[in-house]
Amino acid sequence: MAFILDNLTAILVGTTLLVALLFVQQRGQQSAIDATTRYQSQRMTSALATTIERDVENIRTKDQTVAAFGPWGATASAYRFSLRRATGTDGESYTSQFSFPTLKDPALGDASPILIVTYHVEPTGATVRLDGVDRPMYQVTRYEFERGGPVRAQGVTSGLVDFEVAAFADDGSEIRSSGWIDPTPQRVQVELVAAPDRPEARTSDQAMTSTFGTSRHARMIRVRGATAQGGLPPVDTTLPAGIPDLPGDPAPSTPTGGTASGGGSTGSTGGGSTGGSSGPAGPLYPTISDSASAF
Amino acid sequence: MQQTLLALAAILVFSLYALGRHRTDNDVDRRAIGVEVELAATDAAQARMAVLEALAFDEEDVERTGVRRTPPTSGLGPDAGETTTLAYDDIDDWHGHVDTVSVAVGVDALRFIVTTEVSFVDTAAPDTPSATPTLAKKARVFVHEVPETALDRAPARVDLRRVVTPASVAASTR
Repeated sequence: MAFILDNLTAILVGTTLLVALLFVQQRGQQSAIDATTRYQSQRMTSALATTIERDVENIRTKDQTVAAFGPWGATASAYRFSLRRATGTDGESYTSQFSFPTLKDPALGDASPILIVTYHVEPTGATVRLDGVDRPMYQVTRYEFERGGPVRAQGVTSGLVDFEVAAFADDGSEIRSSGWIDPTPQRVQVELVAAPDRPEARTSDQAMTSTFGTSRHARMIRVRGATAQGGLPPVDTTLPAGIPDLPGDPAPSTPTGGTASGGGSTGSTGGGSTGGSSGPAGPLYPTISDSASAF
Repeated sequence: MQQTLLALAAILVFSLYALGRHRTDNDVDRRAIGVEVELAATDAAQARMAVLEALAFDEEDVERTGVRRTPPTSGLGPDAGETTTLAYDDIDDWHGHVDTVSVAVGVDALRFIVTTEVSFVDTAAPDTPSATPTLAKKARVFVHEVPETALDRAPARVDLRRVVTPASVAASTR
């Protein structure tokens, strides 16, 4: 007893400092976990955005896809760029699906087989509280469909609270609503918002959250196929000088093989007359009205 | 007396440690926020560059097919009648354009000033500006953050440059 009384000051100060040290240490751990999960979330959304960017940059037009796939049903609308929207439990709408034909292996260029890629977004059932609002969490699944093959799920990315795709037409107008987009959009913007899995706050000072409870990643992607001159080489060496129709220039030779907009607007009835090969024997690929279970 | 001195020394050491730890945590948060802002600024710059690349190389190329081989004769900047960005139909129409874009982040928004410059460059040495029209234009999109409040970090800045040629940009149908 005498020992305690003799060292009371040291015991009180030491105990107080020890408890404070534990809180400081715990906060440090929380901060480290927070930074790690945020970094993981950024990496995940960046990887998904890069995959989408590669697919979108190599979008093929409907006519190119008909030639590769053959006709599909009464029309070849399924080969066009399409968007679908849905509304989440928080009342906010999001892009629930977008689909388009693209190159399987862009490194092969035109020699690459064409496949149809669909990014399908669905709620996971979990929610996260952001800015005082419970936001549903989503996951994105990438599906591939090759001619004659089954639809294959190629990867799932979860932890998203928003997924937005906007297509921009030649005149700059923005399209976000559900439907087929024809001709192929010139630009596509993809926006991913992820909510990093933040550690639980155990003290009042830890409850102070960062301004950025989410991690946003957006890409504006130029669809080069939409503006390429179908059938023409990158540089038209048949032209005498300058571009055709310039004042004073000789009459241009007529380009063949497509229009400046890429041929996506031509042959809109599909029908497979340009295909030369038979299409899938049946509705192997879901139409826009199909539900997610069709996969 | 000895205990009091030891206690004061312990409190001092702890205070220094706590302050250092707090500063480290604050640095981590600041960097996380900085990365998010830089990502948003980069997105804004790339979005503007994508708009430019979807346009014709020059006013004379609009609604034409083929690829020009001779330098254009028109100057830089918007052409007659092109008073809004919706009317811009070739790359250099954006020359000198300055506007502000907002990027929504939760309930708040980040604001950026986007400056677009276009210049002719030497086709053989794209880093060298050219006083006369050539077959290469350098598009530069400069984005800098507009802080809403005082920042304890440097505002995000993005400088995106790209050299375009008649063959690398869109054959505009506008």
